[in-house]
Amino acid sequence: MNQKPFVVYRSSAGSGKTYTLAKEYILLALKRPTYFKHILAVTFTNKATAEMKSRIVEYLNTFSKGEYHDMGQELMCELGLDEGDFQTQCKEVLSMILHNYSQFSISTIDAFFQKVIRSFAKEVGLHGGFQLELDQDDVLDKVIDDVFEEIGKDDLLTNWLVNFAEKKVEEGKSWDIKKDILRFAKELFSEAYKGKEKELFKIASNRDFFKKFLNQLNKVISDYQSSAQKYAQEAFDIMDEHELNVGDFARKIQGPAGYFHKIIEPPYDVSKLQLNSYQLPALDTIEAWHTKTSDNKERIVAVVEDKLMDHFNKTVQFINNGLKEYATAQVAQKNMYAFGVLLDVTSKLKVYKEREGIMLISDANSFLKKIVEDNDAPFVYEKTGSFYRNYLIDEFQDTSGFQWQNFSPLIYNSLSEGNKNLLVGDVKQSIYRWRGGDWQLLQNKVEEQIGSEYSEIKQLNNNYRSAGQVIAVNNTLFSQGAKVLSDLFLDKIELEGKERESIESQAKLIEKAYADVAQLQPTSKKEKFDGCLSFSFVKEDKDEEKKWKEIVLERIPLLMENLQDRGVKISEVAFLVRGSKDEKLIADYLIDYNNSEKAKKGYSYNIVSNESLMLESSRSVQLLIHALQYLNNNNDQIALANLVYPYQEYTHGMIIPDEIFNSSSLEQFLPKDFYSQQLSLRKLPLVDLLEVLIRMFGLNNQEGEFTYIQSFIDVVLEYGKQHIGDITSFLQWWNENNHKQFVKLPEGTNAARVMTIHKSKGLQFKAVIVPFCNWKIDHETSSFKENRMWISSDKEPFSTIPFLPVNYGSILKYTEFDTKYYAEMLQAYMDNFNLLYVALTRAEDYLFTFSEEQGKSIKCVSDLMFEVLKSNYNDLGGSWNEENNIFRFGQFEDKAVDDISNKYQEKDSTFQYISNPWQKKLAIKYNSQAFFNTTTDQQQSSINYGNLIHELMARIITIDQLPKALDAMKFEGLITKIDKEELRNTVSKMFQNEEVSSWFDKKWKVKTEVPVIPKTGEMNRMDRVMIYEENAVVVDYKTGMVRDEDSNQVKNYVQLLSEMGYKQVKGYLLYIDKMEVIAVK
Amino acid sequence: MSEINKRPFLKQIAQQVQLQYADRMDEVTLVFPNRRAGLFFRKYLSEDIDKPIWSPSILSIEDFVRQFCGLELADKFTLIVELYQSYSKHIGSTESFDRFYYWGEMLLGDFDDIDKYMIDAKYLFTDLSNQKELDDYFDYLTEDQRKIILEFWSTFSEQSSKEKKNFQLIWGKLYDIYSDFTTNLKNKNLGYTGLVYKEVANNLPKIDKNKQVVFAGFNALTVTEEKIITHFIEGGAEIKWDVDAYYMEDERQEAGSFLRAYKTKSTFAKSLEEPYPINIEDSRDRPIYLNAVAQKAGQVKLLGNIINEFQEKGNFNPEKTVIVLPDENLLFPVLNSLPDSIDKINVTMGFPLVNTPIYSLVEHLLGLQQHIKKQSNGENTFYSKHAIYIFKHPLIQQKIPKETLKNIENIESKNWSRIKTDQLHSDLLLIPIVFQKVDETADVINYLQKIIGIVTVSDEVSLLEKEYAYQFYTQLNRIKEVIELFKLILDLEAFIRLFRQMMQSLRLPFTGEPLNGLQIMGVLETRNLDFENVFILSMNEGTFPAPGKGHSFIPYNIRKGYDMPTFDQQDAIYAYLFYRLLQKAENVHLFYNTEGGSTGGGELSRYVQQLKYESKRPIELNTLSHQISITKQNPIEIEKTASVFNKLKKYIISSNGSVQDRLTPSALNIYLDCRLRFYFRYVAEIYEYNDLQDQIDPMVFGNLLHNSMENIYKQKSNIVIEKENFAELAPLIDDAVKMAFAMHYSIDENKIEFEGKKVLAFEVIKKYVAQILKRDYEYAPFEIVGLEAKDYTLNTEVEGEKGTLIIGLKGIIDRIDLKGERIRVIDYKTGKDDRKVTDIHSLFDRNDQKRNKAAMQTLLYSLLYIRNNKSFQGAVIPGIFNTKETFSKKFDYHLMIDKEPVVNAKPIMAEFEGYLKDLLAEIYSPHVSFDQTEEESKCIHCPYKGICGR
Ligand code: SF4
Repeated sequence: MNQKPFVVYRSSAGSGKTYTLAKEYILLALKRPTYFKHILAVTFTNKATAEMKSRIVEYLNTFSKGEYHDMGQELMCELGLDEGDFQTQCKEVLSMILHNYSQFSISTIDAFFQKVIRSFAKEVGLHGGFQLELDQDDVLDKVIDDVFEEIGKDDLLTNWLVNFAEKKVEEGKSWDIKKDILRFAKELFSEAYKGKEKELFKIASNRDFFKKFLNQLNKVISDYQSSAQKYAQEAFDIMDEHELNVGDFARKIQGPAGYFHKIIEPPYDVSKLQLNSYQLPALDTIEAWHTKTSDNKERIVAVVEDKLMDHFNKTVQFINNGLKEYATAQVAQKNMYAFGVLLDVTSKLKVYKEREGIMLISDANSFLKKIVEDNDAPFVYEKTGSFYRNYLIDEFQDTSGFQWQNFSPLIYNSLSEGNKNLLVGDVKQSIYRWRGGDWQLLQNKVEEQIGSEYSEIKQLNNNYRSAGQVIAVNNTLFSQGAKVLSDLFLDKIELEGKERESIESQAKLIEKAYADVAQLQPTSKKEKFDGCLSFSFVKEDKDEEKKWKEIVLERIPLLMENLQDRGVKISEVAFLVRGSKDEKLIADYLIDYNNSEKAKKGYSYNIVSNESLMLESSRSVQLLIHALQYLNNNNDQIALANLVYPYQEYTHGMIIPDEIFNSSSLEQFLPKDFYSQQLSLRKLPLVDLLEVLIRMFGLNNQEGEFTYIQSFIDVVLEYGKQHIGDITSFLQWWNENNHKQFVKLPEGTNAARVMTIHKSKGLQFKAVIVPFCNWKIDHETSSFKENRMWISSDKEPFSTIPFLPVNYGSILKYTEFDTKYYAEMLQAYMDNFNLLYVALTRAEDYLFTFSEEQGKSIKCVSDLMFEVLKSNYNDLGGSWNEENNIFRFGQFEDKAVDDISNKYQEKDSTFQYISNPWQKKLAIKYNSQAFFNTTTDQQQSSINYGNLIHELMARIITIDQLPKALDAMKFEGLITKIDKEELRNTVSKMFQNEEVSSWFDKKWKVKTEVPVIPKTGEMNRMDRVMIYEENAVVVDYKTGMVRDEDSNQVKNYVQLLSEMGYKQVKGYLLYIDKMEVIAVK
Repeated sequence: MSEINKRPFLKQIAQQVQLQYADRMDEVTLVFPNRRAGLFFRKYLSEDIDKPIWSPSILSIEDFVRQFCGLELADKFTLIVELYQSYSKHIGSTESFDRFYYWGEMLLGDFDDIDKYMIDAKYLFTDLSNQKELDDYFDYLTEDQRKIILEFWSTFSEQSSKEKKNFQLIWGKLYDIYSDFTTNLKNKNLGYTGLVYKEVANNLPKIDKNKQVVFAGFNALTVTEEKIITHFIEGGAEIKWDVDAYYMEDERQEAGSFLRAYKTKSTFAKSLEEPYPINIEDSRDRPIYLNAVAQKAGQVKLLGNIINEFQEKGNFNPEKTVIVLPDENLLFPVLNSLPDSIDKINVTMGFPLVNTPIYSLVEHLLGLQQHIKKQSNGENTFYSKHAIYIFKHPLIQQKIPKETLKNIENIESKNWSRIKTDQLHSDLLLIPIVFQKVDETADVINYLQKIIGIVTVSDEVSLLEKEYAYQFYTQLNRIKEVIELFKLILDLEAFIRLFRQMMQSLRLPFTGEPLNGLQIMGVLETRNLDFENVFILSMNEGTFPAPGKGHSFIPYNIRKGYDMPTFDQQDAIYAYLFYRLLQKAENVHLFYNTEGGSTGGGELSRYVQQLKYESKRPIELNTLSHQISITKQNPIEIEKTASVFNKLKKYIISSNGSVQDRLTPSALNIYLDCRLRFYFRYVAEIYEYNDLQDQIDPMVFGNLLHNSMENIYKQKSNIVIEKENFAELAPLIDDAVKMAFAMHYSIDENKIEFEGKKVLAFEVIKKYVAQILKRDYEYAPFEIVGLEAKDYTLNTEVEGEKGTLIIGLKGIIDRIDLKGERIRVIDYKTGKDDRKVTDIHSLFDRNDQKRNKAAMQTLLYSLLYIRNNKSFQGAVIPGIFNTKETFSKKFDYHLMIDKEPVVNAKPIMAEFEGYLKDLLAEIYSPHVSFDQTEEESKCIHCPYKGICGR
């Protein structure tokens, strides 16, 4: 049976995606030796690209040598080849790849897209040499500054922003609206926004529109509020009339009368406008208004019966009727000011991009869209010079809608020609939705688009990564967990009817995504170590006032020792955390621990984390920066202190700080050379300067810091490629960017890794520790991190605008956007559950998690884990220590591996940081010497004629060649038009000298600047030698004063010529400035 | 293996030439791919002669060919401008020159190829999308070519996309552009390499071929080169190749692809006879060392170590050593990383001009020009940021007098965001020249040249720097000339864009003594040279081989169809360069970066992979991995030694009642936050430097508000303000706030211009002021008795260990008002402060995370007030006007201690003062040293965190 051409591999963690992809690649490549040129494999990161390439090459190498390999066997089988043929073919392909490596196309999506765009740059009207800008936030920051520059010039804008600031002030917030705009403007890069931009600006093309719209929203809000207030006021009037107040009624502020209190003071928190259980009965039962013992019971009954209950009913009805509209207006209004500036930001952004000649990475998709939409695949290939027939795409769950849109035409083209294409991905590992990743493409959309007649779904069921026990526990945890999760979600839905149904059907996605979670362990791995897991649920220690995280931290060193006892190398351990704060927590704790007395000999607690990898954290780097700061401004006392103190401490160890800080001149503590050479130091190119500073401050002796210093130099090198190279500019850049600069470590650095779960995707470790395994299941919302949704409504007035930016939050339940809220909630659940999946499936043999002990309801992923573990640990053969709340699985009590060779040992190194000055070693010929040496300002038009005349004369054999030689020099930029005239005059004058002009006679065989090769010693380049039979005349041109060396030199020439066999040798010196000819004897 | 084969290629040639031509050496012409080969050749020649000889004529192929053509080679800039003329004429586009520049370079490249490969441009640039035209040209093409080209054009149709139409549009005009361009050039007696080559190639019958010529060391020849060389070979010239069996005999090795092809040509067959030398893989199987390092700079340092080892082992000859730098950026790192024992170096590569200090100055000057703004009165103002960049530039600094440098401080301390020339202290030389507006391109160039000239003429400027300047100078000359010649019109922005593009590619050549010392060179420079020790850095894909050169208008398949070079050729050329370096090398050390950067780059070069999987030479991998140790700075603790005490004395009232200085509430707050910080600021007196603040930071904002309020009430001091008076106050707001701004920026209030963020701050402050007035209106009538009151001091007796000390305190109180028998001591706050206090003790509790600094300050003010007004009997109310609260319906200014409002400070003063004295006693206690805070969050905004390493 024929295979279908479009294959979607749905995989799970550790199921050998890379293996599969490599195999499929080789399968295709074996068609014929050069076929690989027609395959494009797409990976997620640059690192993955390099890795995939080297794997394929490795495999081919193995196969071509005839070594046994599973994949080789499978391939042979599928291709129906015998061993010999297989071997030769692999060899041929390997060799083709190695020697046509530029066409070995494995690339990231971005890199591929860039290639296409660059080759169409001219046709789509891009600047050809555009730079791709990755740091979009930085650009945005500058662009918003540009927008702010317009304040005061553009009245509409000014008013709008002033209103914005004033509104914030009135709300008791900071007047600084830049941050708000900045945060909001990031939307410009999101796909959600980009897809709608055009449509939006068609309608909302000026600020007036936003103003009107905002007024409409405000009107909805204020109408509702003032009516509600009126109702409340009326109620209070009634009470007043009867000399009653809220306190007299049942439940006081909590009761029915209290309801009026709530609405007297807008703005309202809509979630609190629902009737509570004391108020609800008050709609129709009088008893609900008073307590049995109310003092004024009768009066209350009377007034309630008479007026109040009726009024209450009317009020509630009013509130409920308008609530949705009111709530919607509230959320819509929230972003409106920032939204209204987007237009300005967009237009300034355009100017900025043009000015700087850059393209933002997020623009790539839209340019590409233009290209692929209009053009057939063959033309695209023509322009890019690559001709792909097969596409293999990895990590497809993280592909965005735009990316797929741009890819699909090419894939369609390939399919229509009957070629094979394939996608690999795992919905469960989709954790990049916030960056635009759309896992539903993998789940169903793509398949639906392509059609089932072409496509085929395959599952990869084996887990090659993890030990048996780890697989088993994860299988249960996630298949059961998915169920718990989806039930949890269903519980949350407060919708009815059709809307409920639609959300419920979407909710099935969770279970569907996890339907295939259960993995098998391949038989080949069975006999190995079965794995070991523990899940701790930690309780806060109330007596000692210890937060649960601290308790976890304290347990970690022991765990690390334990692992090392079992033979796990420190470099095989990873800590996975949710965010950078936790990363820092772990790192700080372990660094302190490592330096404390508690650290045990023979164990390593070394870690590398993002934070510790930050260049800024290195004292050497800090010192270099401080030195630059001081050079930049030697009036800056703090920079000076910053530099002096660490330097003194570094180089002299024990010092008395007060002697430094309190001295009358801190400068005396600087290295002497540094202090005295400031000015010349500042003129060095940055990289050169750094090396000098490293020497001056003795940083080349700080062994533990070499990696940092080297990485810092890399950063400066990179900086120099794109930025202005003076100290001031660099420091400015560094201030803004230092937090993004990390040390680059080689693989296998002897330390445990601390990293975010996001970064760990695609990686695996022997032992994984998830120290703070309890993030929320729903979106984590804070004022810094808003989850923005772009939604529309068909209700007036909200429908005036095609799309509205709305912040995710439970208030949305009450708005027009309720269904979209639940849809987003569902996605959030998936995101966070997926994150757990990624975190727990990185481990090969050991997995440890720590979470906070469960509360009553399920809020965090840990609660969910607890649920599942509690009801399944027994079946999984685990144990539950109820007192400490720890679940354990696998070979826990095993004896330690007592292999000393495995244990941690410090390596000696003979490496030195070599840094030496070079200037004296290098001889450089300077052209400028004469030019700038004049101490007057007259060199403007007078490029040194001496050199030029020299050059000119060398180009002239006979007098008539003068004009051509002058032209040539002009084109080489050596002279200007004016120079040219002057030179012509000078030289013409020279030719008037008889002696001189005789040299230019046609009878001579002339050699200019032709060297004589001596037997030994220096080459001699004589300016001009004229030969006629046995006669030789040598002339040297000189500028400046007559000097003795000059004639010595010519004497030497004469000598040389005689040695060569000329009988009659004459030597002359021609002093150009003075037109003096001297014969040398 | 013969010994001869192990000698450097050029040495072999030298010996052969010597043998063959002996006394007629000056009649021979040697032609090499580049000029450098000639130098080495000459050196080898000198090693084998017995008397001085005339040097043979030694030429690069380019120089050789140029002899036969009358056209002068024009520089790139002229060519692109010339091309721009033709392009604009035919495309009729309005594309500005600076935008065209990139395309111009690309087109020029294409034309160069067309000529070098002798393609008939007329055929090439035909739009064949129309069937009829296709047929017309069929006969010219071979079957295969026809097929490829047909395929390309077959995708074009009536309803072509916009991009295709754009493509066709340009394509259709390219022949016209080409012929126009070349005709114009020839009329001016100018040309580019391709054109010159083509002219010569077409003119060969007229060129005397009977010359003694030796061509040596070639690999990839263009069609014209091949023709020309063939011509001379027919006349008896010789050609020598530098090859190795390793890549010649293996059909797949791209390194040998050209040479194998030449072997099939009759002209070259004889010169490429087998057997080929076997050097790369001889019987010795020496290993190749591959060094993996995680950083670029790390490679360089490892290189230094390896050379050191070689040196220590002896038998290392630097003259026979080359360091090849595929990434030119590593030049300075390499220069700095060689062992001291290497005392002579020669560099053959350029240094990017954009990395020189002079370039940064030029950039800043252009930046200054770009951001000039005309004020409403027509005066030009300059953006201070750029002014500061310029003032701080070392080349400027060494040239201007010290007083002029005061400009920096002046601008920074006054926070001027824009400046006018009359605000600057002038040096009468540079400043008037720098701070003027220039518009026309020619003026801009003169402007730059003038400044470069002034700053470079100085003894402080090193020769190397002068060299950089010289290069700029001449480049600018060139641009100016061409721009004038062609009457190009460029505005400042366009000029800058153009200038940047041109400068990007400029390299400053280090021309030294090329034959001496250890050699450092780029990949291309290694052509024909052989070394015993070869070190190649950056063996990474994307660096070596370098990524494909610029793009082309001519699509890949069309290039293929017409046998024009594609990226495959370029890769093959690099492969040859790589393998050739291995041929005669005894020791080969390759280095690569394992990690790469944000745009990739950690991939091992294909050439190393080829060696690894194919050659018999063993590859020995050595990974550099340092111990990395993260150390934290040791804690700093300042003991109260005699000298420290001495300094602390300044806050103590001496016996005669005088005092040097007094402690302020903020000093005490800082002490409570961190004792060391207090030491730095109030004892060692290390002050913060006031940088130019573009933004209005919270502190400035607060001051502006204070001062605005002061301005409002200034006239009303000491008279009762009634409710009806507020009608008079409201109109003053505008001026009051304006004046506050004027004061802050030290600018005449009539001249202050509001723009940008200042407008926002201005409006917001007005709003706050109005709101505070509203609150005051509600409170009126009252009387203002103090505004920004500075005269409140207090001498506090403290029992120290060495007896009683009297310590001076002081404070500036924002506002004091009186209503009936109530005094309010008010602080305006614009930050996040609140009014809640748990108890008085908490104000002095440094471990209290939420210690209320504002409250402590206000209470201290109250204390100052009370002590200075002993006769006042009424209540003293400490109050905080929190701007953020002023809009709240629940506005209140009372401090809340344990949820109770403080309606009179007097009853709590005793307790407060008790703690205060304890605090002061601690400051003067010899047992409590100035140490660092444990709460690292306090360090985030501390100016001294650099010292503490936090
Ligand atoms: S950095 Fe921290 S410890 Fe150092 S002085 Fe500042 S606040 Fe104190």
